[in-house]
Amino acid sequence: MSWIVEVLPEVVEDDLPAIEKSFKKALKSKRAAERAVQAAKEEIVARVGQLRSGPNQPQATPEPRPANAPDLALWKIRFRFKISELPQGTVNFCRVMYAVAEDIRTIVVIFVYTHAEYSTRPDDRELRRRLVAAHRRARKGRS
Amino acid sequence: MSAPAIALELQELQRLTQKGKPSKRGLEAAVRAFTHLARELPAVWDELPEDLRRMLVDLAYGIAEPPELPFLQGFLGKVYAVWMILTGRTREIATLYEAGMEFADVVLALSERESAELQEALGERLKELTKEKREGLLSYEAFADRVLDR
Repeated sequence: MSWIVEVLPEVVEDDLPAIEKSFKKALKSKRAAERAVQAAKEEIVARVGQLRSGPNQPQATPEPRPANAPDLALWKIRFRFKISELPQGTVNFCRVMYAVAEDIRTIVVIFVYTHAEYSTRPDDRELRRRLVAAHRRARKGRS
Repeated sequence: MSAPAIALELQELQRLTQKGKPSKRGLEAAVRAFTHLARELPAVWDELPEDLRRMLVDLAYGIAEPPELPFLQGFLGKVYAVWMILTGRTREIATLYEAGMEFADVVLALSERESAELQEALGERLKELTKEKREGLLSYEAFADRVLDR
């Protein structure tokens, strides 16, 4: 039985543009940056798609939750973009963070970022805000 | 405080708390904005659309964390109290009150607000503030379509 995978809109509206900005900064050529962005998007979509088989993925590790956050398991997948245009550097290291509501078999992707934006993980304030949003929205009409 | 001023505060508060870690000045502005809102909103809480209530609770969560800066220390209890008032958690309010936290001004505000105009203005403002990103989650398919421009 597959899992429901959903994504916070902030991932599309805030996180991916931030990654795009990092790529443009790292790559002088506009065309190379565009190619790299497209390749990164495809890889991120593929990684998120894999979550439909469950939260326990290769290269995924449980993450501590911020204090006072909703009772959702927090996981993070670390991987390196295999994109020829990208220089060897922090923009290569991508992270996908997701919250798991096991009782309703739902996974909510709450953050996507590279090492260039956050060297470890986003600050707890923002993580908590997104976990609250994920918790509330995932359960709406399901529990 | 006029309705347009509240709308501006709300917008500013949302902006300040949406970004990662704000500066000290940003935090101070957020605290000021939240204080003003806290005084105005309780009386109209039941009338507010669900989306706005959710957004405000999000904002309260964003601010009400253990403070890293000394100037926030005294404010933390008040923020929690406001959040609890807004979400109807009266038992916790009583507990906090007995613990001596300062929120008398907020409780007072509960009985002082009466402006129908204010309610109407907030409702209108909500429509502008409640953008798509606050309304729900994207399915995996919708996410893939949007990211890959399909």
